[in-house]
Amino acid sequence: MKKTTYIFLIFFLSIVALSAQEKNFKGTVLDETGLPLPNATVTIVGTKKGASTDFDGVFFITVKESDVLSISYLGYKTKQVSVTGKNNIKISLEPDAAAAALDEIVIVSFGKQKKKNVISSVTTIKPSELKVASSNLTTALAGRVSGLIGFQRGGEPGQDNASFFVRGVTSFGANNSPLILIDGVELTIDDLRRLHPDDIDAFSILKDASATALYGARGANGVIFVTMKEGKEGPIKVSARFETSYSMPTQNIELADPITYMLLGNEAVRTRDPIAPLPYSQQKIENTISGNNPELYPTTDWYNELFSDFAVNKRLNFSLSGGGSTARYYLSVAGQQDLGVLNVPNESSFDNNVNFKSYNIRSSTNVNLTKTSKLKVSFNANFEKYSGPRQGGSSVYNSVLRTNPVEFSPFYKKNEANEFTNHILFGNVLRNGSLLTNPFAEMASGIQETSSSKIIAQLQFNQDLNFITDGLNYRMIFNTTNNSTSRIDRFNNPFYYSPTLNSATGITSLRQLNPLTGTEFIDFQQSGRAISTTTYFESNLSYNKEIDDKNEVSGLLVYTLNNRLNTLTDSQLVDNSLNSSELLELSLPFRNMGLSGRFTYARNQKYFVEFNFGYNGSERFAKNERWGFFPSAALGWMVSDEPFMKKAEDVITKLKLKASYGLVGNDNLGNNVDRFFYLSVISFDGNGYTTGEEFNNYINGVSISRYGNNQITWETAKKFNFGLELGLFNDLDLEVDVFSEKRENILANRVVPSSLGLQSDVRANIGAAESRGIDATLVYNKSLTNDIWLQVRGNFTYATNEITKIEEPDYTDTPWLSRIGKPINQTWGYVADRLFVDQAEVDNSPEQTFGDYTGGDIKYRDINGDGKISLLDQVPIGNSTIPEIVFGAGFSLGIKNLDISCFFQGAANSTFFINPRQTAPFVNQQQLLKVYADSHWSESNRDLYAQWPRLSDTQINNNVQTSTWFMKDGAFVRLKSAEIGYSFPDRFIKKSNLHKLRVYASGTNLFVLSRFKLWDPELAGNGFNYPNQRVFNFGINVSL
Amino acid sequence: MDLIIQTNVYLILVLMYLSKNKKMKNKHIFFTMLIISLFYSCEKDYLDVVPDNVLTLDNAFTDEVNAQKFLYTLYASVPSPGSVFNPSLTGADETWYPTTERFKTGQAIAQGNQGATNTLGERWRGQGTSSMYVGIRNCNIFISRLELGVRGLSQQKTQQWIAEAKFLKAYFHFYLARMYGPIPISDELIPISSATDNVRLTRNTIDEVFTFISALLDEAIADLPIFIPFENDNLGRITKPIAASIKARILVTYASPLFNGNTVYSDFVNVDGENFFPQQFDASKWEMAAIASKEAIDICQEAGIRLYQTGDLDIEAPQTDFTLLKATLRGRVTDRWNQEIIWGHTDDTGIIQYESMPRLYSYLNNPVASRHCPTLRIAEMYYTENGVPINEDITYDYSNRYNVKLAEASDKFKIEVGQSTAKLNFDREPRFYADLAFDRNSWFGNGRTGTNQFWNIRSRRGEFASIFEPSQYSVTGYWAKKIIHIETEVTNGNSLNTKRYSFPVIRLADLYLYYAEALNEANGPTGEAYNYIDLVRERAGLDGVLTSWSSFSTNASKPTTKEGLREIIQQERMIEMSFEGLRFWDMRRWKLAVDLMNQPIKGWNVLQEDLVDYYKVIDLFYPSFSERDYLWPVAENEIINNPTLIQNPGW
Repeated sequence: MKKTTYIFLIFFLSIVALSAQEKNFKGTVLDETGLPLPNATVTIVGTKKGASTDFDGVFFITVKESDVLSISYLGYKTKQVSVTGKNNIKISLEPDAAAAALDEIVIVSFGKQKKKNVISSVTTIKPSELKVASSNLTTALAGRVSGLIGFQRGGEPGQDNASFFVRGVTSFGANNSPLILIDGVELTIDDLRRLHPDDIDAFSILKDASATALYGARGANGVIFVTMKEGKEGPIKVSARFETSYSMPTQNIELADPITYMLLGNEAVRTRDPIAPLPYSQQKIENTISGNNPELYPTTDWYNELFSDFAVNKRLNFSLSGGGSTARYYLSVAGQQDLGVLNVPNESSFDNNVNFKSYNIRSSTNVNLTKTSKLKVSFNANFEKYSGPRQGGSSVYNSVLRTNPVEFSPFYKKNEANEFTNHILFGNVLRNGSLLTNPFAEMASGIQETSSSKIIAQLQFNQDLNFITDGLNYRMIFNTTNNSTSRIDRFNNPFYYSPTLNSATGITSLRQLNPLTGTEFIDFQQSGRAISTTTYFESNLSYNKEIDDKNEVSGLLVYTLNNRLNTLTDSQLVDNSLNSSELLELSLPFRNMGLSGRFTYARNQKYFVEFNFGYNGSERFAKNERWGFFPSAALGWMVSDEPFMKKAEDVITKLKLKASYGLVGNDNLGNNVDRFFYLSVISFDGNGYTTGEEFNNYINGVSISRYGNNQITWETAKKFNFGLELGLFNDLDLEVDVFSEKRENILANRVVPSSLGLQSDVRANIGAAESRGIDATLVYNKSLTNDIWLQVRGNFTYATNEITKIEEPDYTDTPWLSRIGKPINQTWGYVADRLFVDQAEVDNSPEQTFGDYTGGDIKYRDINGDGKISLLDQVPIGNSTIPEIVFGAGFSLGIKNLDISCFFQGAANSTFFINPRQTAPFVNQQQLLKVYADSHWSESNRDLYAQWPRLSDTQINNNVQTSTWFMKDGAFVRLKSAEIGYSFPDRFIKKSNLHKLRVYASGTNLFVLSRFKLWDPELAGNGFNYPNQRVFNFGINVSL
Repeated sequence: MDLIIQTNVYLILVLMYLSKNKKMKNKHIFFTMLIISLFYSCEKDYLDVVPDNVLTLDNAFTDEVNAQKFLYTLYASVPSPGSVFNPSLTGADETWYPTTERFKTGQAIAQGNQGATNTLGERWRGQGTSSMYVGIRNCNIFISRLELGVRGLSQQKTQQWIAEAKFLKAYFHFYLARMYGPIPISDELIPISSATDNVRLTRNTIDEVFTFISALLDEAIADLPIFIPFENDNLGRITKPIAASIKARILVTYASPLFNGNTVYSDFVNVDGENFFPQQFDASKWEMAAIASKEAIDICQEAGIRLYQTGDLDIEAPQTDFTLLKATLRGRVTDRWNQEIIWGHTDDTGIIQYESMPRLYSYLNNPVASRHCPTLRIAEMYYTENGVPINEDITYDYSNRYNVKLAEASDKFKIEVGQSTAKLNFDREPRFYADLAFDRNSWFGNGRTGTNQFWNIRSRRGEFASIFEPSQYSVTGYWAKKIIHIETEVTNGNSLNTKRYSFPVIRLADLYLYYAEALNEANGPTGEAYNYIDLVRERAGLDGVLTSWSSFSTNASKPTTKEGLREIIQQERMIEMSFEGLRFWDMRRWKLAVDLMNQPIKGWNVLQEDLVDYYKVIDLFYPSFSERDYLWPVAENEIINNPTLIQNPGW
């Protein structure tokens, strides 16, 4: 971080030097509630000089004493103020409902539209709302944006992307993720993660057919559209933000103590086999309790050995912008460092705590080449460096829960015999001829260093074609993105020791377990090298014309080309599961091309019509199926502008109805390896046979991994949207959209009996699904007094779906097995009634066909009444595993210089399942969860509804079936974030020669309400993942 | 990257225009042209990213080399008889494992944990070479493509390869029929785009299945060579003797009680009400089996296949008659490609040897698992040195067989002199000492093969061959010496070097005993039947059946009745073919499994230190086996996918 600090200082000094020469004027522009208004336009009346406000509503301008400033902002009444005798000013703008409706601009696909004219379904949020104490933007989305279903299933730095779906999951095909466009170019969720809210100009979600049709090939899953900031005319503006945060798991899993572990471990063995030898002798238990010889009788709290209590993260963001009438610039530098919570042993030769650093440099320059042509050049470079344990942080966390607490110590102290050993004496034991996992050794014996860089360069050329006809404009974008990653592991093979007691002498000595395989020297391995290049070209002709007072038309024609080329990664090259044909497919470019268009017509600013189309081609399909046409249409009606609404004008300030219907496609049907469905994939490296006298003639066989089908084509979505925009009393805004969608041609596996002898699944466009739902946003703004303002926001998304067509076996006798009519993410499982009382009950109950079981094991319900529990008895259980409802609500309150905000977020209508294999105590040395220790079936306490069935040291197949026994409600509400900030008053700021100074403290994931108590409910079934983080954050924001 | 270049050219043009041609009058036209050309710059084949000549299935039949690869793909589906995952090695009462291994496929089957929803060791489903139906489809593809002709492949080779494919197709069907009984026959190559009804094959009856297999085999036998051409490279490929011998096995199976007039399945019918299993016992099936066996024996003789004899073993052999015989008997299975093996599988035998090998001295670590271990029942099954069952031998102290006894000098090559072991381990036939190892047994091999050079196993608690850790020890006190090559050795006490051998799928002794069995079932005891049993006994150093029984058995007339001889043939078979994965199938086709698999599995009390305690018999497990277990369950999922299938009775 030191370097960035120096850069900051240099800028600081140069700015101070500059500003001393003229009369600097500083202003802060606020909205009616006191919230800062970024990008408000400030001009000196009678000149072309101007400025615009920054993220915090602050502007600076050099003025003469007599100047008058005009301050305007879309949707607000323009104000004029004189600067005479003042050096700074705070201006509150008042909303102008009429102007707002007229002029507010919304980013839509391939262009912008006036808010009033937008009749497709687009949600736009202020970037400031995306600020969370996390270096991952994706974690901020759930509950903030209506129409987005989102959740976060893990908290490891660098690996903590949230999952999100626009209007829920609508396909059971391979890909449900929305298209992510940053400055118009298709990028990945990782690129979204890296964005800094400070650099974002606008953030939109395009939801319905009308909004996404232009992305015909890719738009079916919705589009996330981000526009980055660019320079505005005005004097140089500098802004910096520095944050330090402390993060810790929201919740840790509670484990039983080691003595209980041993006692119940013995019970687990004996309760299944009364004559089996006990794993823990009485002597071991007693000696462990007494703690006399911890070397021989260890108790290891693996969690505390491996993890510390909290981690410290730092973030710095620095930006400067400005420019004149011919050129404008925006430059930002950001750096951040996230540390993990791993404990690094002093003895270790590696510093292998998770350390995730990321640097970002972004620059954008706009040049007016001529009066009518503009050029924009922007660069964005992102560098990331991850170092951490070789197996990754999540795996370390996981291994804690899979390691026996009394089997061995993490490491042993060097004794006389090992005094001069040059390595750590890690603990372990031999089981079944091989060593167990010592998570401490695994973590401490190696390090992975991954670095990646992403460089995006974009050229944009704008030509005003007024000389041909008024309102015609041409734009061309050329973008190239280069991404490279590499990973190097350095490690040695740990030496393991096991203490043995010489019963004659009473001396404990350490026995080396792997003298042949352990190494003291460091080895290395390079993997994960990958380079990808994307080029994007767009040619865009648009036309906007107000023909007269009544008629307004616009048109747009866009031609795009997209090309992505990936090198094969090291791991793909050595991956035995990929054959040479599949590698060849991976090496081929990914391409899309298309021509799209939009035509709109507005009459009297009240009636709106819009047509969109996309005509797109994808490289994935056979020639005859390669191109798809995706049309859509929308209608809108501004009811509040009708004469008959005049009377209600004061109450209903806005009422707009809109509807759209259309077709959008999705070509992303399989993973990258599985792309050219029209081709069969065979391999000459299949399983073969050996012949020959000396077994000397091995000949590979031929295997088939895909059967070609040249009929396979686009997945299509028919989307319908009906929306309502309502404004009440000038301070309440409500937007509601009701939607439904029919997804067809979903690629799915055919049902083929095994007797056909096929080696891989056969697929066809045979699936269909429907989804529907509602999303809504409510905003309430109010200035209570001059010094107190309040804003309340809420949003709600409900999206449900069902499969309407899929090839499945004949389920006439067992209709509950059919997926048709059930949600895409529905789980099927058995209905667990309770635990069996005893063997007698087992004998008198329907047979359960999962292997051995007895009293105390789970009793399932015989749904079809055939006297046995089998696959036929599986029924849909619980809700969808993806939440159907995601909501968020929060308020911001300003009292003079103090601001407080608070945001709750939650999800409902979802179900998850505890993974019983993962949590089964004693199986493969797995830990015993405290809840299971406290509540399980035992001979002495036949609790038929205990949390865990009869113990066992081996996997009881009967008990690990997917069933209602382990089904949990995934609903939760959490205090996602809370922030309190203080902006220093002007008089203080003046003295310190600053323009703005705000300090703040915030928290993320502060508490959660849920019926599920074992771990953070948002992790759902992934409870053994690296936990989601609770973060306390302190920040300072300075503007010069 | 034409596109990028093109775009750059346009950009340069734009910039040139802007900087230099400000006064140009026709700039409008220039611009219009430029924009139009940008829209039309799309190359027509921009989306055609897949090059020609990518690999497709046609490439597999373009020439001989690739067609041969496809042929070897068919072989890849032949189940490996010596694999530890072969349930017939571990799924019966023949061997037993430590409890830690109880979830492995075969072991789980032995414990009766088979189920329709978690089918163990199945060969029906699956998508790799483990599924017989994948193998069968590959055969169908191969046969249909070869019939069209492959460029450069000679007529003679085409014919031979097709015959190999037909044999394998028949063998895969048999493999399934032995497991599942009536199975769907897959004779035609069904296109993948077929309508649902056409891909839902129904189960054929036992008669249809075996008739189909037998006819297919006849076609194959006609075109297969007696000898493998270019043995150096091709040994392991199918020959006429292999096909004929397997046909004998198949017809014997077809004639056996499980499939021939088994009235247990009287209610097991197809949709037309037709019985899947023939309900009338048909003696002519045994006659057919006898004929097929004799034909196979004759073909084998023509091919020079004969019983493995003393002198065949090509190592520096121990120089007494007994040790030489013992070494020879060990070689009958593990001497690679020996004279007796009709069909040897080429899968590596390293793992089964690792599983079976005892610790012969104190090893530094754990190079052997030492847990593929014969049960006490198997130890008791072997004859006495007089060639009759231990409970029939008038000279054998049967009731005191669990007492211990001190070994004398005369026991030198069997038991460590001056040490004690159970009486059961004394005075047994040579195969007992060749096939089994036990506490205080002497072990030739592992680098010691001379007269006075051998190891002695010591396996009482604390001794080197006893429990090493809970998953690695003999739970019965016996080891399967038979399937360990005499040259397999542990070097320096830390690494196992296994000598690879060709695990027999079928060998001549096996065929002789099939013939004897078929003859006895068809005609009762005859000289021909005695003759073929006695050939096997003679090689094992025993007298003929009639002599042995009349001299030493309490039931001297046993060989003279059909039932008595049946019992003798069965016991002879189970002794001779032990640990080769046949007992599992034999006890099923004879319908003896319900009896045998409902008796406790026993072993010595191996975790004891004291001699007398060690030689107490303990029960290791109480297996249970019901009628339904004779056939595998069809995986329930498969029935759901193909509702025309009918589940096997009881599942």
